[in-house]
Amino acid sequence: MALTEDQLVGLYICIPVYFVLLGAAAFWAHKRMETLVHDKVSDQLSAHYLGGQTFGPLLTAGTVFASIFSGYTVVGIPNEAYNQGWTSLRWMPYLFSIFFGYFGTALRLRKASNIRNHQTPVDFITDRYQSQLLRYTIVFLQILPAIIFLSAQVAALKNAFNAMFNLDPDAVYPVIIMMIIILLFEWIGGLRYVIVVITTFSRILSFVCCAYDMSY
Amino acid sequence: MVLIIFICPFQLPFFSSVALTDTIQAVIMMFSFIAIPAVLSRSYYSWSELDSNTYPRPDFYDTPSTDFQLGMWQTSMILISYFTLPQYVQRIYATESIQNLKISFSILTLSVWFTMLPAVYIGTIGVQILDNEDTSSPFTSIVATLLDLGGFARALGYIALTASLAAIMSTTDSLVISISQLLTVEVLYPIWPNASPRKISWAGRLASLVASGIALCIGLVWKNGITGLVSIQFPLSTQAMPAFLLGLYTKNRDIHPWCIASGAIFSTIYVIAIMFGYIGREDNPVPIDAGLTGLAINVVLIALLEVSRRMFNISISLEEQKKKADNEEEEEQETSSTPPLLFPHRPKWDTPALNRFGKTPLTPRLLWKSMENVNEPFANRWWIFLALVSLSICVPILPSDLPTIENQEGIPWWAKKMIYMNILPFVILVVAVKNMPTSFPIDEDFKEDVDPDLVELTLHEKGMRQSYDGTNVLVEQRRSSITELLSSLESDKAVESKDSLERAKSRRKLSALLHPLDGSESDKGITDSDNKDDEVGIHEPVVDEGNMVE
Repeated sequence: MALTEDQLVGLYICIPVYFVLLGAAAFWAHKRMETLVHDKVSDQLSAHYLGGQTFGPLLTAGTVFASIFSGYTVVGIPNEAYNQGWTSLRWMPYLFSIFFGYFGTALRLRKASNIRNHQTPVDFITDRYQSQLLRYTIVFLQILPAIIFLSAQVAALKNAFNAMFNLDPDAVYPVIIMMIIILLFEWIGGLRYVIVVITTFSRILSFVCCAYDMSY
Repeated sequence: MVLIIFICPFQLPFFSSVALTDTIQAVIMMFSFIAIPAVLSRSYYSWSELDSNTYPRPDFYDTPSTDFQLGMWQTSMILISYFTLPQYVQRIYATESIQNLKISFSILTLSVWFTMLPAVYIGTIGVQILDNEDTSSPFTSIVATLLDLGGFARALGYIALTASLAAIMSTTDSLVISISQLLTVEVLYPIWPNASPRKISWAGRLASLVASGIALCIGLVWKNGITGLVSIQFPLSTQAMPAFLLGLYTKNRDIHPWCIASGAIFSTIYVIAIMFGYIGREDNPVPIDAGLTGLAINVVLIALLEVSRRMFNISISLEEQKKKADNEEEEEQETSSTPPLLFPHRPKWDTPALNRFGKTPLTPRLLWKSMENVNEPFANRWWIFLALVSLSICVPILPSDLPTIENQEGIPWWAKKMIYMNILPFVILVVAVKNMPTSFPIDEDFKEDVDPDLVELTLHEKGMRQSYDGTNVLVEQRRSSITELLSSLESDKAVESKDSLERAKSRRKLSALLHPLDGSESDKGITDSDNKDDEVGIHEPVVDEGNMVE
């Protein structure tokens, strides 16, 4: 079922409003990053990529939550359940499996980072094994899957946007424009921008569903 | 309510004690995932109202095939390796404290029930609502039916659609920044070690552009669906797991990095060959997961190479070994500014720059010592065993293609079983999170036994990187001061007549060095409140003798 022209009007308002919110988040994050560097709380790299390592509980919870529950969760799993039925329940143990690995290793990785100042996901491997061969192998094994996952997000963005606006399913310009916007905001605001975007996204979801509840 | 939701994120960093608000927010967030199914069940159908005779897809009631069950079990196993993905590790480093991590983990553990279950609910109920309409985006179509309800619900439907885009965009953001960090700091920075931080920041922006460009090309050209792309990502990332797990949890005998690298390289080649050479070409491939078989090859190769290496080393005569040890000592003395290598006698190209990490190597002993008295799940073998068993029993484990039970009301019986079985891994995770500490402990009673290499960096010390591999002068100074103090305390012990007041002063100074004011993450224990007056900035002289504690 495609959205009718009448139904699309509301989206013409919501989507630009969302992008304005993203712009505001990027601007705020940029200011915050500058403050961290200016006050010598953090160096430029740490401020950009790790938000100065100053995320409080809400930002941490928001970002960890949203990085686990990706766009695939929100759109992809209902779609999979629509096409394949209850076998999609497999995603429940899949998530528990991810958590077993993540919770199991987080404390030790964090402690090592605290005493050795690890800042990138490969620093632990570099420091622990002292081998360039292994280090670059792991860099490759982290970058390649991440790029593949990013490609999946590009495809998901294209499908979702084109279906929403009744565009040709193969139209590529909308997704290219959105990727440019994402890049611009990331350039300006770094990780802190990303985190604020994620937190804002979480709140939009909360708002939607709380309001649904209120309407009944 | 709306104001709280939208304004809060912009004020967050300035309020450090918002744990309660966070919890409320998290509860609201999870509650939201229940609300959409609640609306669907009120306005249309609920699971209990479904009937296998009238459901538009009666085949959904058939028991899952053996291939599906085998595939599900294998994917459950390889997903444990997800912790190696850069975006997850980045978040472990970005948070201010492990208390924040613990809060996040609690929310995550609960959230499975409030996200996955409703997501499947929306999809399966959607089949009944849309009467199995052929649609390219079922989620959009289901939300469109909500728009038809009109009024307030219609407005909210728009926001739901915006939220679905926002979800994809937020994941995209996270991936772009983690790839950018890896390309910049791990690839470009070593080539350009003295580049100014500003230049490196710009290099990072270029890296983001390149990564996005590549992803755009792949994403737009790829025609086998999103699931197809994700199914390649899982097995590849699994191959990094042995390196992380062996590095984190090896206790006594270290494994040579080349053995681990060889295992990872060969298994990656195997995975790529299987994915593109076999699974991608066969119409009905054998249901063996490339990631899991790759992992098995990876581990076996590491074991074989390591055993061979040790056997080869054993064959060296005792005299040669003694000579080797002497040479190593000499080498260590020559290069005292860099940490000694755990595995010397390797070509220079294989030795990375390590000054920024400290003067001593990160040995298994150091890692295990740093985790003493910390309750962590992976250090408990029984916990690991239980976790694996619980994941395995979540697979329905049924004979394939059982005849459909006619007149089934509600959801299929095996689906109910799948849901109930998830309670076990959930409980195991709840216990693990509950037992996690909120800070890393330092036992004040044994302060004089503290290892200076285990002293945590403060935020200020962490954020002072000005070149690729510059020594962290601030923490090195603090650690050497601690070493000096410890040795003076040790020598004082031998001299009984030493003034006890002077020893107390030294102890106080030691405490100040261990707990500087700009905050390491370690627990200050029960003495925290008692010794508040004793805390001083790390660069301040410790002279106030009035508050000394004997």
